[in-house]
Amino acid sequence: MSTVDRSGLQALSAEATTLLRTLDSVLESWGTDAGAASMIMPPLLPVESLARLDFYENFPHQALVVSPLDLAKREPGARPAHFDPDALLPASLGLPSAACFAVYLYHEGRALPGNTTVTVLGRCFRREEGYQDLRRLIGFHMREIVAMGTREFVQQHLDRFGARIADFITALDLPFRKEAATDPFYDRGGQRALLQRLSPVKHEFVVDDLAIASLNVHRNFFGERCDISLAGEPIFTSCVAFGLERWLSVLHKRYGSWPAATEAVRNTRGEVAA
Amino acid sequence: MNPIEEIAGWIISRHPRVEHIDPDHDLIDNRLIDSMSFVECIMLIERLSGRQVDLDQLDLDSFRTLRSIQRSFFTERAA
Repeated sequence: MSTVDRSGLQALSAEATTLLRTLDSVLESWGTDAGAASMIMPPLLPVESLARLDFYENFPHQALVVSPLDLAKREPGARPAHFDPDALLPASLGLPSAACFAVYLYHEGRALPGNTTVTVLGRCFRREEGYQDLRRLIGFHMREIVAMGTREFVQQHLDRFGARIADFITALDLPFRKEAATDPFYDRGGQRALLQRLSPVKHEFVVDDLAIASLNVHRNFFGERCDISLAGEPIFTSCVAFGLERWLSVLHKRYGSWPAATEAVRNTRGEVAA
Repeated sequence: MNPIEEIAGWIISRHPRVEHIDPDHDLIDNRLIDSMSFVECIMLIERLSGRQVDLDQLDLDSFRTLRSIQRSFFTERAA
């Protein structure tokens, strides 16, 4: 559990996997109980699409891309530990850093028939300055419940699930605080930080100094960029996101073993009403 | 052109698809003023009103609509 692994790559044991699946089924059911369509998104996204969402403007420090090998540069019999850039073809696919990007791209160009909720479990990838056991990984599971529709609808989505998350964490006996977050890339000062400070777009639930869930406001950014409309106007979007390996980390610390933590999640599931 | 018309014109010049802004339209939630243009908007209000905006005392609601900008920065009381 406290393994130091600087690569940010960790396998989950069978017991840890059971906890992840148990927890995820609870969170997925929160979405489907609220009418969300449960979907599976592609594992990679076109660089061109992520660029259109300003991903490489806003989060260049997290970005990871995928390149095929340039077969003309291949050295038969070699067992490389890495490939130099000149051995690769251009990278036109990116690893997603959040599960919801694919949801907006899936709905691109569509007119929604009404307010819409979607839930997805994504494998997400972030380059970090350092990695630490299950608290900070290069690749991890993110469950998201995404709302698309009117401004009022997406705000109600955050109010509803914000309260539910607080109840759930409390019932699991995990001391937490909820705080406004500023993205570290913006946070270096400058113009963008001012409006974020006055009107935070992200709130996080922090347990043991670790953000395990977040509430995110995008206003009508994705509606405009992806040309998704409702009644002729660009939709508003919001999402609630859960970093599942981080939940595993804090639950294991609180309950002392994977089976005990799994039992706690199973018992708590029924206690927290919608 | 009064200051509010000038501010509306400045916003419209940055949003080619917008032709008219209702006085009660939420400029922040609809991202007509976003995190990139917010500081420029404050500077424009300062130039048009001839007064400095105190960044430590900012109330976001003062910037939400053209009507609230008028009320907060361009009425007798605001002076």
